[in-house]
Amino acid sequence: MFRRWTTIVLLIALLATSWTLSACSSRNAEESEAAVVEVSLAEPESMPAEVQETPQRVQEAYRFAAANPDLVKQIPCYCGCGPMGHDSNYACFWQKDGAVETHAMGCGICVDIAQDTLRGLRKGQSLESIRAQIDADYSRFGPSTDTPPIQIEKIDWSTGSSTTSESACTNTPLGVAVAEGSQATGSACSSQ
Amino acid sequence: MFFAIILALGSVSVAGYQFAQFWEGTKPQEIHMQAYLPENGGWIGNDLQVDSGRPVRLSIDGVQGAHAFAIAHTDVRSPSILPGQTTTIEFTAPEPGRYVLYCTVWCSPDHWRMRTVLDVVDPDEPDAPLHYVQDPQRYSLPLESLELDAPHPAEAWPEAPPSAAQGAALWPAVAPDATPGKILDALNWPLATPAQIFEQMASGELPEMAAASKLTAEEQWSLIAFLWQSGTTPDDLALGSNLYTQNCAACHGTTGQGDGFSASASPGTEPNFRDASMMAGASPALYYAKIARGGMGTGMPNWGTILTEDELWAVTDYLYSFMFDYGDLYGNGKAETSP
Repeated sequence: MFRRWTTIVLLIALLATSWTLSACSSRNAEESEAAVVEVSLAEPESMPAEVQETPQRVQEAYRFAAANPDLVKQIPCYCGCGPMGHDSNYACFWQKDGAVETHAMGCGICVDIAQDTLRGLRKGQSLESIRAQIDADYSRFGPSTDTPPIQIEKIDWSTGSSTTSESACTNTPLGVAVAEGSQATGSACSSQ
Repeated sequence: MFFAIILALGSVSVAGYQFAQFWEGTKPQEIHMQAYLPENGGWIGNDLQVDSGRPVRLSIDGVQGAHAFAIAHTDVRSPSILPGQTTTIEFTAPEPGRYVLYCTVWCSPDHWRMRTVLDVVDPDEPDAPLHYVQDPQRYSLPLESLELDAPHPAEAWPEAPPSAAQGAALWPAVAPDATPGKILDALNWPLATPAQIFEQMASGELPEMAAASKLTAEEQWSLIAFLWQSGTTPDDLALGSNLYTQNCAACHGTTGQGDGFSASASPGTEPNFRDASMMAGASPALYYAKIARGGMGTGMPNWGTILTEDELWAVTDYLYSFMFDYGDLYGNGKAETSP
């Protein structure tokens, strides 16, 4: 009699443990889906008037590029803007002298590529995997800009620091902060 | 006995785990968004991400403007989303991939910017890279040489919309041994332009249609209209017409003349699809690629991540109905007047 009850209790305990483990694993999965990285955006008020007049999704792309030039300069564009002298997705938003480039205001692919990059960074993806996704998704729409290979090999999202493929490089802010909100900046090789 | 107990306990444990997983999987994944005008943010909410195969309950608070949405490459369509109302729809998350969720109601001049992305992950491989769900392409197109943004004036063009019916009547005498499909293949369709084919036909360079060189220019153009019509179907033209009306006519105009009510909101100048001197210089490949990519800074949306391959070609086929007279295929009189 005692054995039977022990077995039943053991079975119930096992079922409960299994259930708890399962729930924990799904909860962990859901938690991991949440944004893990806070990517800096330039202040809306700092944007030129013509940018402030664009839809917010476009403004956000301009603000993202403005705050993270060294990341966005490593992402190609596939809208066919290479012959215009554009060498990356960044050039669709900002000119080399810092003036606004109005091209992206009327270009869906430019904004989509910037938004995909921003989304990937927020999820903690590496720049290499983001670029690989963009290459695969957009290369069927147009030729790539002549964008140099990724120079940032690894970004440590907990500190905002980065590892680069070259030892001597210009330190520039990445504009990346950890999720808890403590602003941190890292360094990356300038793509200039 | 000891091993039997261990085995039994293990089996119960696994069964319990699997049942719990199944139970979790049947619970709808809740997503919440707010719908503003695109100028003020469009679809606002957390990054949309769900597990493939699981039920999804998506609720949207209407805040500004009237909207509805569709999720590209799925059958998911929402009812109207109106200010002050919450609209909830339920669906099963599709195959893993990245899907564009876009507004289907002309809500503002920036309507086409009202897009966001739904990431559907494989629960067994949550970190696998996601790609936009897209169909395999029918043709491998040389994007560099298509020169999508260059003007494409034709060397030759018809003075009036050529009649496909007239071309069909002439066909048996001109090309008794060749089907239109065979000729299209020989002509490198969809890379050839109507004007290039006209030049070949007029100069007698097409051996299967050598007799066509002796016809009048009007008759030769009617044969080209018949060839173009043969490259599509009434169903595709109807599909293309619907998609054009829904997504393109606001700028390009219902008559294709670039005079849609929102044309002035576009930074570019809308082309006139009834201008045969322009249309005859453009290949179907060029129009397909341009619809998929969108304008380069001109304000034309990119449709390649939204429309299916069949839909992209249906719209492409439909554009030529502004130049050619396809008669009763979709009796809307598109080609009744000269460009």
